[in-house]
Amino acid sequence: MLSVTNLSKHFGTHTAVSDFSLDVGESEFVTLLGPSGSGKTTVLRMIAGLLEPSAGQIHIASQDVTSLPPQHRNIGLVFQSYALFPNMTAWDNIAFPLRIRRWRAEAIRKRVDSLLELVGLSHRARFHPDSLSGGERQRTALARALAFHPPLLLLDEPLSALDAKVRQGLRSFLKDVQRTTGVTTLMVTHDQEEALELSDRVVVMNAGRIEQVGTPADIYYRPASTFTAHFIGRVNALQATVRAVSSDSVVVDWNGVLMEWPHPVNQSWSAGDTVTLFARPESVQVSPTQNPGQIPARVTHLSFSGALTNVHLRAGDTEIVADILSSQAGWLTNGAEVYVNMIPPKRAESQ
Amino acid sequence: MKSKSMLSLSIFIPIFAFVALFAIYPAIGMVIGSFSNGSHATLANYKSALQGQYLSAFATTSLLSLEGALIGIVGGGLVTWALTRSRLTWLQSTLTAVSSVMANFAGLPLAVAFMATLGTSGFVTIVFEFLFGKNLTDLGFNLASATGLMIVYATFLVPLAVILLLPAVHSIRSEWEEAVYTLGGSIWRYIRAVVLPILTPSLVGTFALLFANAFSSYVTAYAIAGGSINLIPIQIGYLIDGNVTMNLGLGDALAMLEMVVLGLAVVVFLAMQRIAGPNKRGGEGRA
Repeated sequence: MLSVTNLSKHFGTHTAVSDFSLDVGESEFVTLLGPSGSGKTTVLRMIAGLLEPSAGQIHIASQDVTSLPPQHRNIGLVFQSYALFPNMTAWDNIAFPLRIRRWRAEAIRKRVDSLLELVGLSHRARFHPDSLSGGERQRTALARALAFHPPLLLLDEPLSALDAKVRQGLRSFLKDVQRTTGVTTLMVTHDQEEALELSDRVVVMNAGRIEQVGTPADIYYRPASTFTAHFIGRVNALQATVRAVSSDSVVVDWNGVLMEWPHPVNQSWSAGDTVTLFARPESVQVSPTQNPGQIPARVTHLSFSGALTNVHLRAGDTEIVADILSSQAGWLTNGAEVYVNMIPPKRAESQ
Repeated sequence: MKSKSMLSLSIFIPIFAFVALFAIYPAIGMVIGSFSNGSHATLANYKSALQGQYLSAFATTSLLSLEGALIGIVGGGLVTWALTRSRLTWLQSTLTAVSSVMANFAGLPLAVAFMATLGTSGFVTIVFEFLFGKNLTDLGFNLASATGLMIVYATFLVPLAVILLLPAVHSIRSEWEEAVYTLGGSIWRYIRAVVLPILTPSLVGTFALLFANAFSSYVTAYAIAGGSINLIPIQIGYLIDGNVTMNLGLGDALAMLEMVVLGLAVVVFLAMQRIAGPNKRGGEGRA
């Protein structure tokens, strides 16, 4: 559906996007995830036609749109600020692209009414944006972007202007709408949770380049770079030595404990290499007594965060953070001697 | 708390006294005077004010003020639009500052400045004659005419329009333009469907205020045109200072009618400001 090839954008001497290539399939939900300045919004704006690429090509439904103005690309775009027209009601905002396309009045009425029903705003149709809540504006903007059946929907940080509670509710709404309509969607966000929850695939970006493309589970459990590992949630970086390499896994030595880990993504390890293992806090097991494969550690700090308790540990020279269910962390105290190991390799993450 | 209120009140008392003494008291005197012939209550002043040369003065003043407001709104609108679309922040701040000064640069200094440049012996007139061998007067230009007056009015009405329109034009967000494009519209659709409806209240309100400003201009008009253009403020001046004939009652009646016109313009301006409110907030006022 969408094919981006070697896309670059320079602003003077600054390179915002460099050699960006991506294919998005029919009905796929792909997210560009990265910190501020990573170039994700620049990519989105180039695809929308609001920025001219310095190099590269953009194809939508096999048509080269690289030099087409935005009004001829037939792309739905939801802006971060929604960009609803304040002089029009929610109904008129949604009807706007259909009037441009000279739809008949009856067809416009049917389409707008059905979209308002889809986004649950039939009762707010005659309200101006000024009188709608943030969530209602977001849904109106989504309906407007979908009104003309675009083959591609672009979402520019669509939930970032909302408070946490509304944002959580709208995530599943957004995914439901995307599933219902089947529209190919490319979203930009800096919120990792949002990206992991909504996307079929996630594109992690850093400094104008792609760090990794993969499913949410790939990105989370098998980060291809230190940047991705640290950007997606919290992570423990553990120094280890490769002892043996087989076809489907590697055996690593971490503080004298041998563990089987999956092969790293995009890297080749050999026996004797010193490598860094990335382990998520929930992949660390903590026990009061030593089991096989565990090493001793000391609890340095406990912090309660609701369902989970963050346990900060020191094992030799290594700082480790473990997330333990608060209901099972009652025995842990500051300074306690404990034993830790990483959960089985297939569920663990490595580099 | 009570002492703070008393302090605030004590600050306002001199201001209230000043307003009462120099605005309300003369206004009451003007109202009474307009209905009096010196000894009896009468409507004769208003009857005279609405006929003959005075009715003609109202027509001329209204027409010139409409023209001035139109020039101001078109010129000011274009300058403001260009200013907000320009990414040169130094140009924006400089032109905004210059507009603030120019909008208040009216009266005798402005008239003298124009006489010194475009008057019969003005600098530009002499240079033009030296360069092209023709006098501006021979080409039909006369500073002491309606055209000349319009040029002078434009120098403070255009900057005034810039100052009044700037907040409204600034409230037009670039995402709206981008949204129109991605939804399939052209720049003309953007102007017609989004910009003009949002700006209309501000444009109408500003037009009303420019009209009021031009309508009430006295010193500039008198210094430039003198008696060659029949304007209401000049007629009021004649009737009060006795230059041609003294008739305070008629002068008061004309002044009252002028106040009605100005009052209507201000009411239109305020009403439009209220309507423009939600649009100026970019549609995000009550979330």
